[in-house]
Formats: sequence, structure tokens, C-alpha cells
Amino acid sequence: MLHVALLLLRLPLVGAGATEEPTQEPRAPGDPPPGLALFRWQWHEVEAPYLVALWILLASLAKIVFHLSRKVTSLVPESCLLILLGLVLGGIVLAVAKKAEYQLEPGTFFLFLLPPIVLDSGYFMPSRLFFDNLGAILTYAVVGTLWNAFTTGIALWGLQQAGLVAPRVQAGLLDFLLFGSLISAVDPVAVLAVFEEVHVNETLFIIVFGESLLNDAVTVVLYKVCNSFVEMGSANVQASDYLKGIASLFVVSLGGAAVGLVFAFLLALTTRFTKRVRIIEPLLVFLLAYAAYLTAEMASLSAILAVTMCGLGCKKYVEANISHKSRTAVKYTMKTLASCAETVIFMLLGISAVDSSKWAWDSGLVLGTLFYILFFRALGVVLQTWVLNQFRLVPLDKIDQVVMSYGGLRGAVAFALVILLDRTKVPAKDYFVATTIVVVFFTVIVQGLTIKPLVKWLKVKRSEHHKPTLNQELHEHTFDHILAAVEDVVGHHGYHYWRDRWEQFDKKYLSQLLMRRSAYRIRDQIWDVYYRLNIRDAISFVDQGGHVLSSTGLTLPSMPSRNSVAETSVTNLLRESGSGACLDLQVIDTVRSGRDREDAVMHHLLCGGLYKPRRRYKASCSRHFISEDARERQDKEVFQQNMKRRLESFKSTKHNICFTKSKLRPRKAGHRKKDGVANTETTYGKPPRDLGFQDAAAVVLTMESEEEEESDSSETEKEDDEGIIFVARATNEVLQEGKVSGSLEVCPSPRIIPPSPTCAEKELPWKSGQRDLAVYVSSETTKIVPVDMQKGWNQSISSLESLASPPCTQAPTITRLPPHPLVAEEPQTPLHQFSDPRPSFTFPPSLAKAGRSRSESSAEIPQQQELQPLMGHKDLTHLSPGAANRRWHIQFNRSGQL
Amino acid sequence: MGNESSYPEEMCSHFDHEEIRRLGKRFRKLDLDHSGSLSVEEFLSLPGLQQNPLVQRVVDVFDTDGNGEVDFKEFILGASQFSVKGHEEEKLRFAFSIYDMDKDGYISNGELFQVLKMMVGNNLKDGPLQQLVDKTIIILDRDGDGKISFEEFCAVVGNLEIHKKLVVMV
Repeated sequence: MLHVALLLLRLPLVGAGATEEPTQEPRAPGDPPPGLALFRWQWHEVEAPYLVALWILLASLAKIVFHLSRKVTSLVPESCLLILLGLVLGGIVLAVAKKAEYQLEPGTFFLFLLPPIVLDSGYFMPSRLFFDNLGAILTYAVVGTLWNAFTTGIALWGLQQAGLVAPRVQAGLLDFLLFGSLISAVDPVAVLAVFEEVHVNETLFIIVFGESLLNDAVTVVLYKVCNSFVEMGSANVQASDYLKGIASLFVVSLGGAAVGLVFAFLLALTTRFTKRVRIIEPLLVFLLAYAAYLTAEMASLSAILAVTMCGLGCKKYVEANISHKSRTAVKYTMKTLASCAETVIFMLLGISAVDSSKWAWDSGLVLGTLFYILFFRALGVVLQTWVLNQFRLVPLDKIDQVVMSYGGLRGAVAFALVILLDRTKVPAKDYFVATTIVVVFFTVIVQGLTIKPLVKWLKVKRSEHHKPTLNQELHEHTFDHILAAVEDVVGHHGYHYWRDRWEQFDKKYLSQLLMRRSAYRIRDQIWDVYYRLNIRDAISFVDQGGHVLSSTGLTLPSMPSRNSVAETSVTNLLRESGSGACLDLQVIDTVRSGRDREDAVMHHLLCGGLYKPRRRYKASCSRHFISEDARERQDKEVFQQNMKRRLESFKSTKHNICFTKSKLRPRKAGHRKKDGVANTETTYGKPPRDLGFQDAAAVVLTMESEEEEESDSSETEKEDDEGIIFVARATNEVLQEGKVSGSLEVCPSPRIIPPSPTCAEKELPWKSGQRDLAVYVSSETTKIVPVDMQKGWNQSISSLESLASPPCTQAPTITRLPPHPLVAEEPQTPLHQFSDPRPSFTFPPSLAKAGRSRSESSAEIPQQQELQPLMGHKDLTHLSPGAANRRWHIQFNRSGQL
Repeated sequence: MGNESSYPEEMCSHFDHEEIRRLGKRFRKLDLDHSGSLSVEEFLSLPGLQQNPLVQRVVDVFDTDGNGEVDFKEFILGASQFSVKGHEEEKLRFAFSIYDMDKDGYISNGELFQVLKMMVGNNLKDGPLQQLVDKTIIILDRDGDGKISFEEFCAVVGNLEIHKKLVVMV
């Protein structure tokens, strides 16, 4: 693409370069051939590209200078500054060379400057937003542009008839319609340049910007039709020509879109096979998109539409196929090219305006045009919005309409089109050029300058810069699910229904065809994020000298260092969150190291983790790739969960039969068997009791929460008068002492120790990396804690119980198979069974029981049984490896129980 | 039941007669056993709902009298909250009660965990999920009582403009 960039400005220079080419080697014929020259000056050989490079360099330097002052750029849009700079430069060139040079040539503009900008905007178009508002965008783009063109043209003609335009402007109705068609189109370059700095809300932006992209087809058709009518002369235009004109609107727009989609398909297909030649991936993207543009241009279709569709269509598959580095390369190259082209366009616009030979001034025409484009734009927007609001769920309010009207900026496209007019056929061309320049300058400079204050003054809802917070992320997902559910219940199948159908088609055929297999990797991404989270923890841990978690650092919340940040006080944390997770010391450090970063990571975690509501699929796909597999899997999972839940509650209430299979986890079952044998009979008869709170949390349903509340309160009361002793030790240590004495001394249960690492543990990447993370908590240290934070502990522990520590998922299967040998089990065994060495909290049975027994009644047992089926077998296989990343096993025991 | 004429305007929903008629049709279509109320099983007969992780919660919230079934009145009133004419508070209240499983007016740590667990399934392990819940509660909880009241919920969710999003055409 670089050569394209270099070519950008060559065309305007060709004229100058061509004449001098023959004199390239100014050597007198009689001279002997020179010897080896030490130094040769060959300006003419490099002149054209050199000048192009210099111009771009100049533009870039100007940009840098503009941005030196934050104040200037915050007030004045860059596009204005560039146009003004262009004006100054044009003046200098004019003064020095006595002739206007380096102007914006339509050929250069359409072939080289425009494509990068359009590709950039199409490729990075927020697709969900775009399609959500497609109806509005299309209306404004098609109806709005037609309306603007005809009303402006006719009104100007009327103005001329009224004698307000000087008679020297020789133009008939057709000429004015032609002029109206080229001046009416909102320009994507100008809109992008201005709106990107204004930051209005996304809906508003996508509507204005989408309109400016899609109206290209209409503009092209109108312009061509009018132009040919003018050339034919109005007398020769047949009725069939009008029909052809209308037909060509469809041909040009649909044809352009089709060309774009074909190339998008080719592009996606090609990138599927670039595994071994990663380096050309970015190149392919640019080449094929450019090919789409040129093809459409060649066939006189809407080239802008073609590139937009190409970018929009290929993104999902291309992003999935190409490597991470290529993605970055594509992104940056695209942005660089677009920004470069934009800069050059605005600068050249300024320079071109200086050339007075091209234009002729007529105040009536200029002022009339200015007034009409503003007036009819506003009127058109209001009328269309009124119609649209009848159908829109979220109506566009008045303020939106004002911004939309005012944001109708004209730009380089109009200028290039007007330059393309044939003076012999359109005698008033010079006047049109002058008017266009004024209109472009007015909209870009005056409106560009004032739109920011206007937006502020009207209090238009701005787009939010910061990423959605953790909360918003969560709630939005919830809302989407709710909405999907209610839509289904109500039976409304509209846009979302068709979107769903498209997703199905995409999943079944397109993605299969266009994505490589390795692209299906949702699972990996989650691990990946989690892995990174842990690595980061490790780094911050090391950064803090690693001593934070040693005895002094951890235990004393009263220590100034820990207290300096209020929220990191251990007590606070425990109190506020009241859950076991906080006892994970790494979390404490993480919170302290910056909630923002944490949020970001959580955001990714959520993106990967949350079930995608139907209507969110597309958006998710474009940002973080979610494979189709994932969806299928998710659907299945949720379906299973729902169904199991129903079936189980039904069965358990009826026959008290359980149907979970022990085959789920043969290995675990083996363990349990051993446990079971060891502790047989001890608690047979009331197994559900201790399991209740354990498994509840994982899948719990409605009824659980009430009992949770109860147990919560009862627990707290109870614990208030008892001290806690807890012992933390390294897993390795525990492992060694293991089954024999180690755990016995602390806790009645002999089976604290996780069994040998599961296969998942061995495979998972972060597993090994985690070892350094060991949280060392000496027992002396921890013993101090209760003294300082007894209340916190009590609360947290009580909530621990009510919450149930997550990984204890195996439990349910056991209790629900009374006749099975596994059944009889010591109450607390489930606590010690997990293979994962993450901090897990062990309560002696009596504690658990005590807590339970208050809230528990016989009625509770069936309830718990109902809950159990919900833990799919996947739960089991997952959780243990999942939680396996902590190497330390911490136990808490209450002295009273010993 | 399900006969639209028996439920005229005084149902104080946001729907006009035509919309109620249409919803009545929908209701009868869903009511497979013609019992006059929709059970969870009947809801789950919809393929879309089968794959919706929150279906249980949504049905529970619809079921205002807690008898496990959604009758026509509950159906209309529930759907009415998603009407374009519905008030913001109504919609927020609906969203809140999705989390507030025990209907005590507060979202507790456990409740949030459970709802999120439904939404992540096996995609996320319980450890990180619990961290997430803790963090969420800490951020949301202004008065430090460890649970989220409706006001606290609105404070954060209110600026998401969900009253604009939680809208369903009938």
C-alpha cells in the first residue's frame, strides 16, 4: 500500500514533471561521457514521489504542531486547521510560482485518497450499531439525499427565476438539479473528521456517519443521471430515461454492495489459507479491498458502498483468521493511511480554493445555496425523523435532530464532483465551483467550529469514553437476556428474529467455509485472560517486594502501610465483601494495585464467560472473537440446565429418585468411594445437611436464598462468642504429611489433601506459572488475625457458609444415591475432596452442622435434592482444574470445635 | 381465562385493547394444556427460552403471586412493563427483581452470585465469579450494608438508559 500512498499526489504533479522529463540529463551532446561521478544530482528522477512524500510530511508536521497546543485542538477541529493551512500554503505557492499548483484533482481524490478513508470506516464500523440502525440510516441516505438534491436544485432554480441570481449564471433547471445533486450529499470525510472529535452518542454518530457513507450510491446516480441529461440537453430526454435513471439507482447501489460482498468473501476465503505466510495477511486485506473499490469504480457502481460492504463483511472472518500481529498491523496501517489521506484532502482543499482562475463569484447563488442546504437539510431531517419515530422503539428526540441537521457537512466529494463538470456542457461551472468551495468551507469551518459548543450547549448525550464498568457490563448482559426472554414470551419476531436466522446461516455455512478450524477457540481465550490476570498478580506481587504477604504485611490491618488506602484494609475488605474470595491474598493486592485494570481484565473475563444473549452475538463476534462452537455449546448448556432443573424438580418431588449418573467422574467417584468407606455410617441418614450450603451456591435457585438469609443471621450470632483459629500451610507440606497426621491435628477429617494433580492441572498453562505465586502465610501470622478482625472474620465466615465455597460440586451426586456405596460419607468430606489446591475453607463438621441445623428443617431436604441436578457433570470436571491455580491450602478451624 | 374480553382496559397495563388482544392470542398459544395459566414447562416449550439462562428468573418475576404459574393477568402486567409506555422505574424494578430472588428488596451477595452463575454457567469458574460478585457489591454498595438496595441499584444502572433498552414491541 505504500506505493499507493506515494502515488497519492503524483497525478497533480505529472503535468509539471512531464514537460521537464526530456531535460532529465542536461548534458551537452559534445561532452565526453563523464567518468564515474562522485556526486550526481538527479532531482527529476525522484521529483514526483519526492514531492508527494514532502507534502505528506508537511501535513504530518502540521498535525504535530496543531496538537502541541491542547487548547487549540480542543476548540478547533483538525479539519479546519488543515483547510486554513492549505489556504496559506496555496497562497504561498501562488505567490512564488505565479500559478496555482498542487490542487485536489478528482482523479487522485477518487482513486487514491478516498478509498483508505472509506475502508477504514467500513472495517471498523461498529457492526451491531450499524445494523440496529440500518433502517434510519438507509432512510436518511436515500430519501434524505434525494430530497436534498431536488429541493435545493429546484429552489435555486426558483431563485434564478425570481431574478436573485445574476443573469450571467447561465443555468437551466437541469443544471441546478445537477448542482443540487452534487452539493446535497453529506460527505463521509468531513463528517468523520468533525464527529470524531465531538463524541456525540453512538446512535447519533452512526446515523449521521452511516448516512454519509451510504448516500454515495445516491449521489453517484443522481450526479451521473443529471450530468448525462445536461449533456443530452433537456429537450432530448425521454420518459424512458427517467425510468432508467431510477433503475440505475438500484443497479448502482445494489451492484456496489454486491461487488463489496464478493470481495469480502474472497478476502475471508484467502485469509483462511495464510497460515504459513502470515506476513502477507495485512497486504491481502488492503489489496482485495482496494480491488473491490476499483472494480466497482470500473463498472460505474458505487465504489464507496463496495468498500464499506467489503470492510463490514469481511471483518469477522478476517479477524478470526489472521494472526494477532497481523490484526495490529492491519489496524494501524489502515488508521495511518486514512488519517494521512484525510489530512492531505483537507490541505489540498485549502490549496485548491486559492486558484481564482477556476471560479467565479455570484453572491446570490452562494448565499442562496448556503441557506437552502441548511434549511432543506433541517426540514428533511425533521420530516424523516417524524416518520421514522413512528417505527423506532427509541425515538430520536429534538436535540438529536438538531445535531443531525447541523452535522450535515459537505466536503471533498462535492468539490471533486464539481471539478469534474464539463465546462462546455455546463456553462455555469465556474459559479458552481465557487459556490461549492464556499459551501464546503462554510460547513467544515463554521459548522465544524460551532458544532462542539452546540453539542455542549444542547447537552447532547455524549458517548462515554471509559469502558463500561464491571457493573454495567454485567447488567447489560442481564438485560439482554431478560429482553430476549420477554421477546420470546410475547412472541414478537422482528429484527432480532431475522438476525437470529442470519446467525444460524452464518454458523452453519459461512463460518465453516471462511474460518479456519483453529479459529474456534473460545475456551482458550478465557484461559488466556485468566492466565494473564494471574501473571499480572504475580508481577505486582513481586513488585511489592514479595513481603506483603508475609506475616507482617498481611496480618496487621492497623499497620500504616496497609491502611494508607482505605479500601485495602483487610478488615474492610472482609467486611464489605464478606466472602471467602477475599481471603485470597492476591485479590487484596489486586484491588490495591488498581481497580481500573482489574475491571478491564474482568471485562474480558466476562466477555468470554457470560452466555451471549441472542442479540449480542454479532457485536461480540466483531470485538472479541466468539466462535460459533461457543454458541452451540452455550445453547446446549443452558438448555440442559433448564431442562434438568425442571425434570429434576419434577422427579424429586414425585418419587425422590435421582437420576444423576456416577459415570460423570469415574476418578472422583473412586475417591469418594474411599472416603465413603472410611467414614461409612458415621453420618448416614442425614447427609444432605452439610452438603446443603456447599452445592447450593453453584446453581442455586429461588428457594435457596431464603434459607440462606436465615442461616446467615444464625451463624453470625452464634459465632460471635467464639474464637477462631485457623492454620494455613503450603500444599506441598500438607501433601507430605497428608493423609496421616497433618490434617488430623487441625481438623477431624483426614482427607484435607488434594489428590495428585488432575490431568487438567497438568495441561493448563497457568498451572505451572502459578507456583511462584504461593501465598505464604505462616500460622503465627494468621493466628493474630482473629484478634484484630474478629468481627470481620465472623461475618466473612458466616457468609462463606451461606455462600458455599464453589468447588464443592461433587457432593450432590453422593447424597442422592442412598443405596450406593458412596453414599455414606462423613459430612465434611466433600470439603476436602477437591483436587484443586486453591484456598478452600474448611469448617469442622459441627460448625457446618450447627449452622445448618437451625435453618434446616426436614422440608429442606427435598429442596436440596432439587438443586443438585443442576450441577451438570461439566461443572465437576471444570471446577477442580479451574480452581487449581492456588498452591496453598488454608484451613480455618474454630477452636471451639476441636 | 385468556379471553381478552374478560380483561378490559382496567387491567392498568400500558397496552391498548388491540395489544391486549394480540397478547391474549399469544397467551393461548403458549398455554398448551389450556389451564388458563402458563407453567414453566409451557414457557420452556419455546426453543428460544430453552436457551435463555435467565428464563427461570424471568418467569419468577412474572409470577407475582408466587404460585409457580403465570396467569393471564400476570402475563399482561409483566409484559406491560416492557411496553414503550412503561415508566423507567417500572423497568428498573423488573431488572432489580431479576436479581432479588427472595424479594426482600435487597440484592445480597449470594443472590448476585446465583444469578451470575446462571449467566456464565461453566464458562467461568466460581472463584473468579465470586471475586467479581464481591467487587460488584463493593462498588454498588453505597451505605456499606453488604447488599444492594433498589436505590443503589438505580444509581448505577439508571445511567445505562435501560428504560430505553428494555422495550419490546407487542
